[in-house]
Amino acid sequence: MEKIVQLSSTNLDQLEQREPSTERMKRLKDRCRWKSIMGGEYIDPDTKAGMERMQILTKAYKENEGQPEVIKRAKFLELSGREHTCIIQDEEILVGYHAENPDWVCLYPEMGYNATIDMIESDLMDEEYKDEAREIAEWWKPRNLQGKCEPYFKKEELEVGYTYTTMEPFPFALVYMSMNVPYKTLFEDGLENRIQICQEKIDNAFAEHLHTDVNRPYDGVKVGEQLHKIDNWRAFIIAAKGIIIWSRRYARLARIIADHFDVPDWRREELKKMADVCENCMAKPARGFWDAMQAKYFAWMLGHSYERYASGYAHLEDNILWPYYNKSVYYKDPEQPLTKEQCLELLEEERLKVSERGIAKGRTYRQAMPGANDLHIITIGGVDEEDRDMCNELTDLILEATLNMCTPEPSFGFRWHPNCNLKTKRLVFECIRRGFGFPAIFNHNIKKWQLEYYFNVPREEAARWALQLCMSPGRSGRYGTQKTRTQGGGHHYVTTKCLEIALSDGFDHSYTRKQIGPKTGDPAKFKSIEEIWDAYVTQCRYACRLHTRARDITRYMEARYLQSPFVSILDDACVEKGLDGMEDMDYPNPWCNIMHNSDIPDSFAAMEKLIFEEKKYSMEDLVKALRANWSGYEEMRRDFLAAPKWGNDDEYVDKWMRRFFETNYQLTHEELTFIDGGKPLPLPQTVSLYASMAPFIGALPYGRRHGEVLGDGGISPYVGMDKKGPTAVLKSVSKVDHRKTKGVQLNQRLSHQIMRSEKGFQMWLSYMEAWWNLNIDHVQFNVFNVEDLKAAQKEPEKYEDLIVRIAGYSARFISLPKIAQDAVIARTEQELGA
Amino acid sequence: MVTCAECKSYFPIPESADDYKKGKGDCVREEKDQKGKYWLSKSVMGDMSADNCSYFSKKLTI
Amino acid sequence: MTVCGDCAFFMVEPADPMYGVCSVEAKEVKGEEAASGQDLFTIKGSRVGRRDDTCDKFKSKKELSREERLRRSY
Repeated sequence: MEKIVQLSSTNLDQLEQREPSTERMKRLKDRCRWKSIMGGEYIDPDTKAGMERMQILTKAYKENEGQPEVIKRAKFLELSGREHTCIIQDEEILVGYHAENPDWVCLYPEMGYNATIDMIESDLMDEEYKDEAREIAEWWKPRNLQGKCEPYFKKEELEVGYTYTTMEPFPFALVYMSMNVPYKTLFEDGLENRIQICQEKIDNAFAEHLHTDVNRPYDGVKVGEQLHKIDNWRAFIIAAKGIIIWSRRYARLARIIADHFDVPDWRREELKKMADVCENCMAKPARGFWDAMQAKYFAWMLGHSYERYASGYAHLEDNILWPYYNKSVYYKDPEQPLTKEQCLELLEEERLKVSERGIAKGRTYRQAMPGANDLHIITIGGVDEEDRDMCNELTDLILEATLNMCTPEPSFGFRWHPNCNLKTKRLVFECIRRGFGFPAIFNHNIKKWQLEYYFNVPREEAARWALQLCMSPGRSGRYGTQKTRTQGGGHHYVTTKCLEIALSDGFDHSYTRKQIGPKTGDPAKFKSIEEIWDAYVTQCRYACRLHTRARDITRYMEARYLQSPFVSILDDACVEKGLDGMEDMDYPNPWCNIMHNSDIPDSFAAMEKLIFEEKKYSMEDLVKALRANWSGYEEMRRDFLAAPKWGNDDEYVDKWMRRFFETNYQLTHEELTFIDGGKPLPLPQTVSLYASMAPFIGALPYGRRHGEVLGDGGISPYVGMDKKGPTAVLKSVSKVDHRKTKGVQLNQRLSHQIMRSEKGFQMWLSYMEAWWNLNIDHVQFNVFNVEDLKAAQKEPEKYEDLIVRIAGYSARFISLPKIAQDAVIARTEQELGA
Repeated sequence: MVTCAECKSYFPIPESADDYKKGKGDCVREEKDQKGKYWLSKSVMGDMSADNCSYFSKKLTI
Repeated sequence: MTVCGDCAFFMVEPADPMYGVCSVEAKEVKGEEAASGQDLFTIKGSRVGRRDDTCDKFKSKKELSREERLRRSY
């Protein structure tokens, strides 16, 4: 139940205060084992790298030498089911963890050598384990994804691909992936039914094709087609049985604690119920909301943190859980009766379990997401294929849990449509105005249309899209969901670095001091803005193509060596076709992230004005100034800073953004075909890379110095450059065609005084109406009092619950490095009604 | 030599369990750190030596 | 003998642990100097090898607390 408590000292005291709905949730939040990251390192020094997953993985592979790769993957899960440590924490209701200690993380040696050895050699691993860990990493070196992909690149290509300059490091070196687990299948069928289906497929294959019936013809082609499928179906069965064992070991543990350890009576009874849930929830269809929540949590933990590593928490939560919530709370004589309050408590606890997820992804993305532990974004809201409101009581309860718990994870994406009801929108607003930065708002119609038009997703399915990570929509049901990042994203190039080296003939003066791109000419001799543009586009094209090859080869090898039999058995397409999710190429959903965006139109507008129109400076002057990092060129820098800037509804610079978007569409969708036949769409966004890439990008023509933050979001104005109010920003943003993207990330900071006033909701609704009418893809909000943030920098211990939006995710402000904190503070506060 | 099966923390796996194996059990320990209490379960064979296990505590038999 | 990897200013590179970003030039920049017009922390990085010889700006990791090192990182 809602508790209203008057707070005394913060500027949030106009708002009703929220807290966890039960004393138990308060205690769990107080002792939460946060796994936030800062500067690529885990903030809590108790976070360590464990050995168990690596040991079991390696043992399973060695014991099954000679077996098909997918069988080895399945045997790993089977052995894990039998041997991996189970952990139940005091008072928790949802159980499950993927390492042998609740403060630890596990490593993925099969996914990449560089990332694995980085962690082993760091403070993350205790000395006593390092020798064995090194041995395991070396054993995996030729066998892992990186080892399989490297032979297809020249040495100089690997040198570029292992730095973070013009492109994201090659995906096979990153240890960063994503996926969308088909939870719906698990709830509706249960693993035992899935096992039976697979067994029937195998039996049928033998009966139809692998037979010795002398009365029927022998068709060797059909025989050949079945062998690989049979291997996959067998692997699915082995993996699923292993997972059932794992969940039932949790059931046993709960019973042992209840029967043999000193726990309060209420907890004893609860542990027995938890045992019943764990006994059934993976094996059988969900009986109610508790089964569904526990099954979802187990499947997420296993699919995203154990079978392999994958970022995200993709699903349309209110939609897929609604039937089970409805059963538990409203059915007469339900199998699993629960009150609304008990469901609320489960949703609250989910937030803590997600916050406790420690994940040893590669350093690139640990640095890209400071203040959080990963991208955990759930999708809610929207309308169906007949435009009927899909928000339900569960949508509201999810938002209530969010308000109560005040954690940055999981974040939410809200599928906005005018037909979504006002009560839910009010709750969305309450989250935003408290500064959470989420739900981020997505234009439901644009996203739905995109899936139908570009990716041939049927209408009903397209209406039920869910975010795959932070920005991109995808399928979310039982069929054809995204199984790996290289099926969707896994691809990006860095526009700012491409521009920097276009202005130095492909040579990186500021960071690597090497030739990292093609020679595109001496920029001091460029005679027109078009020559600069052509050189810039050539650098982008080179980076884009090289990275595309890396991405496609990664996908090719994932399909052969990094299968996911557990997640695959949950996908109807995989089971029907006998294909692992990594190799099923029938459902491409690709995009290409475009990093740092406002920097490009701002740079070109400045160069056009000052060099080619006013002729106040020459190209030679600019090249020297950039090489000197503007030092000694202060007056010139001021002129370039004063040139027109994006986000002010100024056609002089807005035309460059339009051209930038069109060019990205050409470079990606028109010029590329991925290995699965998919044609990617550009997706301008940055997560925290506008801050974490600052050290790698040299001085730029709009006046930025090497080391300063870069352009925010995907289409957001550079911090502090949007000076004409929120409507001007929206008008600028609406000038590009959002339908030619997979998404366009827009960060806006709104006045905390207005948002937290009585008129705040109405004013925000008016803003949202303007946003919708301008056909804009996305928007997410910062709402904060800058004095709070500056105080938090000085006394972080007093501001533990202060959450801010980064870009694509939210984070605890005190867990951010200073460069990211300052960049958030610097965002222009827009006055609503301006 | 003391074995795991003689320890208070050892719980034989029931025959009805999917992972039942004769002589196999769960080693269940309660741990506590500054963040709270938790219980761990690891699979062990009852006849494993527990001579070097710092958690070993003999089961009382009546 | 100390190497760059031992230095408080060494930040491991994202994708290759044998290299790092030297952040010795990280600093606060006042609003009038920053492109954004607001006070900002900046990190001008240069690439170094983990086993490169140290320079005269070397500072042992032990001289900064862990939190200080993380806070001034990226």
